Amino acid sequence: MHLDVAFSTLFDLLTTPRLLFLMVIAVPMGVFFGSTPGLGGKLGLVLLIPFVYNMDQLTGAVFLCAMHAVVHTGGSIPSILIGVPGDGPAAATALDGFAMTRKGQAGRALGASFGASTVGGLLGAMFLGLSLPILEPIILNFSPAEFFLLAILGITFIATLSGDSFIKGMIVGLFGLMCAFIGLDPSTGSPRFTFGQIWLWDGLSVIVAVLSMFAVPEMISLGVRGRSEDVSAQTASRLQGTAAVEETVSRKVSYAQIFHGLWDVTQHKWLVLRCSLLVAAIGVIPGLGGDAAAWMAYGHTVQSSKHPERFGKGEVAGVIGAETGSCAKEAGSLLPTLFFGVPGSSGMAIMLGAFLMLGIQPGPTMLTDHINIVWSLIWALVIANIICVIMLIATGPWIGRLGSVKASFLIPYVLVFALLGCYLYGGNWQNLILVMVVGSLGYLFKRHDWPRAPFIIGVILGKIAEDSLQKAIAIFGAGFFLRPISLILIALILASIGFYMWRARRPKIVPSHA
Amino acid sequence: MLEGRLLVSGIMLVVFAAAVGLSFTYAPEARFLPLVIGIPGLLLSAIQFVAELRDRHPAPVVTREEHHREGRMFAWFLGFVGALVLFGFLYAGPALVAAYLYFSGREKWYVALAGAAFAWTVLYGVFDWFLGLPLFDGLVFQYVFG
Amino acid sequence: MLKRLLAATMGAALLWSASAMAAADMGQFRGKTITYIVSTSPGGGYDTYGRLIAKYLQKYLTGSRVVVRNVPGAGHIVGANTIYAAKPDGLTIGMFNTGLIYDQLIKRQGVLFDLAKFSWIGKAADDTRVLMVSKSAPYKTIGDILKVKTPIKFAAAGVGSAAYNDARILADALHLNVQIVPGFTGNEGEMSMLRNEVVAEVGTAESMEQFVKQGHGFFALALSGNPNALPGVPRARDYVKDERGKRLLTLIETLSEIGRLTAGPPGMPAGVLAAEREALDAAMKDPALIAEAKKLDLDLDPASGALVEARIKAALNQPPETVAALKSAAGG
Repeated sequence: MHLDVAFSTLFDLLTTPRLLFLMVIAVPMGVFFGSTPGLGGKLGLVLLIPFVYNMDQLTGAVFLCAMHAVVHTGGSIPSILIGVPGDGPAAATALDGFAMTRKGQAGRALGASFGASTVGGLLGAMFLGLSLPILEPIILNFSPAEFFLLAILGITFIATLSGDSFIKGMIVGLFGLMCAFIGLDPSTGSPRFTFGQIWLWDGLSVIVAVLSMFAVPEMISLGVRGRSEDVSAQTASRLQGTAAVEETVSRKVSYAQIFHGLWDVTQHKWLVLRCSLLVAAIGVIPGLGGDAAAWMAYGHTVQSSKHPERFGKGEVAGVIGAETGSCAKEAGSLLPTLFFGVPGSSGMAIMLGAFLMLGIQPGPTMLTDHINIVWSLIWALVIANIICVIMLIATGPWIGRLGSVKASFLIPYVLVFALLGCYLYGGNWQNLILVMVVGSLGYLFKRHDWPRAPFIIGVILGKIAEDSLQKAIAIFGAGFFLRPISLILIALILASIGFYMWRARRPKIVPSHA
Repeated sequence: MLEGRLLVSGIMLVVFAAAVGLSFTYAPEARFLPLVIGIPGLLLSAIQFVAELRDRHPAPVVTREEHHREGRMFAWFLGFVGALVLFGFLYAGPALVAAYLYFSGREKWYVALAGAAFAWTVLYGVFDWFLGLPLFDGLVFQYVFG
Repeated sequence: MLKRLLAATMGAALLWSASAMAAADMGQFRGKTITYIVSTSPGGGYDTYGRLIAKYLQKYLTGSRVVVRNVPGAGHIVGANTIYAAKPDGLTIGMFNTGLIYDQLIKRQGVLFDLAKFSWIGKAADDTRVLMVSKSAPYKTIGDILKVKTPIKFAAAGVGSAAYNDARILADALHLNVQIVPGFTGNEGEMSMLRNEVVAEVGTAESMEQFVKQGHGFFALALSGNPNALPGVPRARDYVKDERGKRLLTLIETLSEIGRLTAGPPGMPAGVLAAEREALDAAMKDPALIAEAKKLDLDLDPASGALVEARIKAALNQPPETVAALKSAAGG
């Protein structure tokens, strides 16, 4: 290890006011891009590249890394406070985070989220530093065959996330997988389930799926619940299931609540560690994608919990697992970008272009000739996360007011901006019609207690599964699953299913949330 | 009204049946996974549908008032999508905010106007002007102005 | 000598008067917003070129504001359809993949444009196509690949995409014994080469340059482009034996020659088209643009709209055999 370089670069970063200043600017920008549905880190990078054009190598790269590092932390804010996630990973946070807000624990959820994402980001960056020597074999041993099996492993989590009804969860999950098949079929290139519509060739995007399943139903039911003075709590509870207490609890966010959330993170230290490692490892493999990683962290959290039945109803561990997951992956995806010049995510593909523009030549020589840049970027991730958590905790009570905005104010803005996000993401107005259809279905799901998370998992993993299955068969033939890592993954899949069945046979524990 | 529970499993049943049916029209490579997923989906939704059909538990009573609220909210949602598709974000966005605040939120007219002004400022100022992301103009304006 | 001098002077005079006659009114866009459509999502080669060109078009179309609008979908088809259907007032122009020629020739579903009718404004680069072979593969030259007995694997982009068609056409024209594994987007094909799953990939020299620079692969064959651009790389044309193969290769050569093109909808008024052509030509000569392109690692090889128009029309004029070959290459 290059310990001397590791520490001297940290020292340099901390003692260069210009760099610190730029990071302090970059962090709120990242939070903004992350918290606005449809913008996201990728677009943030594209739009900021012109600003770094004239910066020197280190300054520009640190600025972009710092911005990109905190995007997901920003994304958790609307997910928790108003149940409107901006992208795939944030939807995992919304499941328990928004449920906590409804129980009057918005501050605790925010604290847990800030804490978990920071620790996740830190552990991810540490993982990045420590794994430098063994990086190459890890990356090179994961082929499409393993991607396929990882996707299947993720799909088995659908059962765990189905809540009370296994069958309903499976139906929704399979429906999500079906929706993932919309578009051009990868083996023949011919359109499938597109009904003659060319804009459907690229399929149903995760953004549309997430906003339709979460933002739209939340807003409609908020409107139905409406003005609390003329609807009795009982009526509200009948319409909204568990939300009965909602109107009566205070949504005020206090520092005490936020620190309670931070304390929760320390109470789940092993969970945080496992999720960080799991996700950084998945993030490091180019081609699988961060959306999948965050959901696998959430699935793991539920599966390994002693009280899986509490999840989705405001369990703080759910927020911690999901947030650790979405933030640890950024560090993971930086690795292949730097050392192979092969980006680990679509955001990193743009980062790669920016590196080249700044004159940083990614490749194996990064480890020998430019190790100082590598460490500077690792530290930039770390410092950005710390700046971010300090800023967010400090402003937490004010941010928290978003959660207590009157429903009639929230609804029109959220609907307009969620629809705007869908438009910006695909660049076509037809996506709005798609949101109308899928969003209405999402409301029916919510209204009649069908789980919605499996749909997102299906949409995210269905494409990966079909794509990698097709490649795996083309490359290795039908016996592709006999490779050593594949066998390990198959064992994990079987263990995951077996564990679920074993648990399902145990006598039911009385739900504790009631 | 049709019992809500049945509505959802009924929709799922129809969707899976249609998807499986459509799959048979595709080339063998293209229909393989859709069938692997679709057929179990069809079976499960059939099971769920039948289970709910035979479910003798009384369905939760939904009052007329609640139905009205749901209908109104759905109408707003469809109205939002429709107006944005027809008139674009810069015009329909602020107008929708104002309309919702005034009619559904029963705010004073100047509050509604201020809300619309804020929406316009963000849509135009942040997205169009600062970030340089052109927003959708709406089908009507595209048709009229090319 | 004198004669040539005279001819040159006359030529110059003619040119001068021609450009004076066109008298492109560069100020006619004052106060107007021009939308430059890029047919991909933000990020990536087309977006980078598009944003660069838009920035400098704004400089030369005095007083205008040029904004980039990303219209991704169906492998550039949606973007091209959008430009084609726009009002021909010069306020909507944009960029798409020249590979759409394939889609038009085989009459692919969803194509609502006729490339012959676009108003061509110019092009920015030569998109030289190459065959890149992994360093760890046992093949050191194109000769080794031509001789293989059992099929070797090539990575390619999604079925139906321009890059996939290039690979199929190359395999067809050279009678390569290959199995094409589709579905690799972005740099996934290179990753697959690092894992020794596939031995080669067909793509643009620009996108693969990094991989070669890092020592993971080498250019085994240049399918198109300026012979001086890639010194020492054998040319595909020298290995094609039959007439059919030659014709297919000509098509690849043509469309890689007119890469990163800018087009407007059919029927743009002559004055508007002339102004935009002139602005693009001037932009491409601007030292600031050239410096910026160098920094962004973008190759430039600009040419006028008139040349692009001629090349496109020639490329669309293919005998039925070529179209049939394309259809079979595109995998139906």
